[in-house]
Amino acid sequence: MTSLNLKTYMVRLATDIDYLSDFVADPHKATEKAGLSPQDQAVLFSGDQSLIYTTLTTAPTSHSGPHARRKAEKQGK
Amino acid sequence: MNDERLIAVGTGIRTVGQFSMEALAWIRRADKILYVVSDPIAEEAIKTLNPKGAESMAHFYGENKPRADTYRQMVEYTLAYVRAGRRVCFAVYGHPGVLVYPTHEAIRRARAEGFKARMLPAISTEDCLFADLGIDPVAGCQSLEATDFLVNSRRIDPYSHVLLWQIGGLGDSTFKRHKFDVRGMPQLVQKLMRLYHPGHTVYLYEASIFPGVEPMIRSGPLAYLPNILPTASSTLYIPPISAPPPDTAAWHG
Repeated sequence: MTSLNLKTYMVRLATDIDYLSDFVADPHKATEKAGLSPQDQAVLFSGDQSLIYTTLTTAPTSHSGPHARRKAEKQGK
Repeated sequence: MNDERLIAVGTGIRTVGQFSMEALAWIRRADKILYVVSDPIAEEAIKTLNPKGAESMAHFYGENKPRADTYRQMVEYTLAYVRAGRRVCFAVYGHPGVLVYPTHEAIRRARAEGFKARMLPAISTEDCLFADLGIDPVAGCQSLEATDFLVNSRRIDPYSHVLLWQIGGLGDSTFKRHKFDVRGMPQLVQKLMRLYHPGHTVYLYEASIFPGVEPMIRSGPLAYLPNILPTASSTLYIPPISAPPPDTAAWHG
């Protein structure tokens, strides 16, 4: 699995039930499975809203999430 | 069915877990997504779901600009796309019908112009507060915008749960990017002390917007409230003073 940054991973949590169900079952195992870096895992599990917000607003964006990826797969791309 | 030209949706307060499947589907299928959201996950999710149609309306806000002017511009901008024949999704954080003027107004005007329009329910701060503070509104619950309560002749039932919204923007009708003015706080507390003892415990509540983050809950005596600076997202919760006294004139059972 490709490693995800924090923002992309949280978007997947918000939009993809597979990611969210893994996360609610075992958050640490789910973030490792998603390839989140130790730094991003530390931010996500910090419980610090300001730290998470700041990290997210400085993270690079990606619009090739699961939905775009599935669409591309359907189109044989 | 599903032939709406305008649909208003909410992303919930904590986007992870509160963004409904129906809202996600509408965002994905609309021609144009006009959004006003406060957290980067909601914004990124919208852009990811519909990269071609997503457009923020946050640029309509301006420092010290009256919010009423901003809302009017958002409504006009939204209706322009509807009139142009696009299927428009108006997405906001929280619930699209709770403390949101432009969604209600855009739907009302779209319908008046003959377009089919609908609002979907979503999770609001009030829903989060009920869960986090363990309150069941069936015991009686009044929900008022704080400035509205302060400047108008409103009646509060002190035997009910009372929620005063937007306590962090008390008496201020303009937009502030970082901190709202709370110039009316001493007057608000004076008004509340007509009904409540100065020592009555009240709560400032702010829902969490990310998973794993606890909600912000601060409590203290009512009289001490002017010494606490609420955030722009704070809601004031006032518990009932006691169980309601029986009304023996109405019921002798």
